[in-house]
Amino acid sequence: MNAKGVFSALIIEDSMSLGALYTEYLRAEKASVTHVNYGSDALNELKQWQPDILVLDIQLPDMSGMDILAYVREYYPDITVIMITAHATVDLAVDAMKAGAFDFLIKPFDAKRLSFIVRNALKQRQLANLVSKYENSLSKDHYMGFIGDSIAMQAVYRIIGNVANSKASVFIMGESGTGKEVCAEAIHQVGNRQSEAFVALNCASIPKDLIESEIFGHTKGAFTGAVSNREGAATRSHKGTLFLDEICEMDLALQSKLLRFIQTGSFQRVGGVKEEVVDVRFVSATNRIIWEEVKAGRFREDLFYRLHVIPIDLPPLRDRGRDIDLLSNKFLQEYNKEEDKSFTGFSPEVENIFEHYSWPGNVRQLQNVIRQMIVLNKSDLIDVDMLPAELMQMRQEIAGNNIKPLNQDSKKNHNDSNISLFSSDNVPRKLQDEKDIMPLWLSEKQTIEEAIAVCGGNVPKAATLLEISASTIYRKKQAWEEFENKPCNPSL
Amino acid sequence: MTAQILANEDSLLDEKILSELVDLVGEESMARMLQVFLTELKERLAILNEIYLWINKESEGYDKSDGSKHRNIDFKEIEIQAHTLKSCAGSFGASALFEAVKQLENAAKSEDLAFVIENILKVEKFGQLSKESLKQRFMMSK
Repeated sequence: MNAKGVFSALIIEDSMSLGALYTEYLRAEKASVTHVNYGSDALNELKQWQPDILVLDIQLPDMSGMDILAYVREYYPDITVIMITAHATVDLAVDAMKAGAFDFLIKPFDAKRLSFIVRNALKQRQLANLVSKYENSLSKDHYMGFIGDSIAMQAVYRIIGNVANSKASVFIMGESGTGKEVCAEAIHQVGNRQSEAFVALNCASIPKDLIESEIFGHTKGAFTGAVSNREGAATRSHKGTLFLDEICEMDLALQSKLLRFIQTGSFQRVGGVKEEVVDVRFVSATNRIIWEEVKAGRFREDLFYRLHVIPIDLPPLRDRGRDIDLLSNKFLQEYNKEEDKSFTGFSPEVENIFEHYSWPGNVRQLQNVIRQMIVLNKSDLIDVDMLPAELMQMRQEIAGNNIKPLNQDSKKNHNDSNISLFSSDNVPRKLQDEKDIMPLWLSEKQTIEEAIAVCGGNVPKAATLLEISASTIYRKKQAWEEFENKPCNPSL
Repeated sequence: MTAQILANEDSLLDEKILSELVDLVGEESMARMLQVFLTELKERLAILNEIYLWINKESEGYDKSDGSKHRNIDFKEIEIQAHTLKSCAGSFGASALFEAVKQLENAAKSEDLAFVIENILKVEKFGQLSKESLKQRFMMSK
């Protein structure tokens, strides 16, 4: 409906004279009207344009008005549908209301009756638009599992809302701990596939030999250990969403199979011959710079273009301003309850440090830091002396008035701290030069070793606080030892 | 039955409906819409007439009151035509025609051949009468 109150209407009525009559009725209500006699004509019209109001006869020569109603509700849910029926089909009209029609008219009806219903429908549309505009104008401090009202996150919420109902592939990028899986789930939950399955697969956590079977499933005897037929993620996510996390870890051979699956919607199970066709919405994610992976030949360019249709860039925590406060308080409440503690808040100094720290592990790191402080301390206020080592470094910078914006280099003194989870040289900072880059495994090693030290050598406790399993720590320790003996990348 | 038909003839058109339509759309649009209605009426009466001729041919030598003997008669089509005509007649104030097609629709639904024949004739009669009456009222001056 435009500002002058003119709205568009499509009448589907097989009788020419009734169509002409209803057209006059609606024109008197300032409608711009199109009349078609057949259901098939209506479907063609709807592909070209969508009216504000659809006046639909239940009984049509070529199809049932109920089928058209179902089609409109599925593909054009914003259209208000008014059904027309005769006495004999009142039961159908009731069914139509249940199926989402706004109202129904019993033939013959006069202009006043139609006018009354149309005005109600327009009023309802106006209210719905108003509510929607109002909701969109409000900043949200939480959204489908996310917490934060920063401009960066509002933009993310908007994209999620806009893409949710589309089938277009979404590609989520962001540093580790920024919430890529939360984002993928939000897309699924907000969209029209919410009642179907959301299947998440982490391509990095599954051995390369098994990942094809994990995605496509396998038939009995396909390989050693395949003792029965097994559905893969592709089958399980039929009509739903398939989330492929850490997609860059997928090897090239499997990438080409995935490409074919995305292109055709069909695949074969490992060891199978039958083509399975599914309707899947793809969401992928990586913390790598995907285009660099393409340029390096590690990621197929054609697959990149298939997956990277709608990109979503999740902002790092350090760029999210006040969200750090919102998140900190949320986690404080949550962990207080879980750990049976009674912290009421953070000291101003801690808040200041939180604000200036670069949070290389993003929200996940903030979670861990707060849990660590709550588990290891008993008080009513989180104070600065409870901070873990890597944040204490920030305290010293603040005390020395040495705080610099996070995008500036901040060289550290080697002797500042000997308890930092990151060595003083490795306090996260904006990299300016290649020599500033340290291997990821090394910072991980230092984090883990320091956590073990803080926990008095108690590996299981350190593992709990790091939110990884103790066996992961042991496995990594072995790899580091091997690495020290022979120079190779020990990443696991 | 004759008395009922005569009674219906007396109220061939519903003046209230017609006046409301004129008030809403104006005389000119009303004449245009009625032209569409009369064209449609003519087409649908022609279909009913064809079926009527078919019925007469099919039912030669049979008892017309015995519907079971006339399985080739397209009662469904009669019902569809009557159903649509009913809505049109009701909407354009052709009240006598409305009553007649309502009866025809019911007769077709119950596949009562004698009742169908009786009402097809009534529909034909009131269709013509309504047409003349509407023409006289709205379109003769044009």
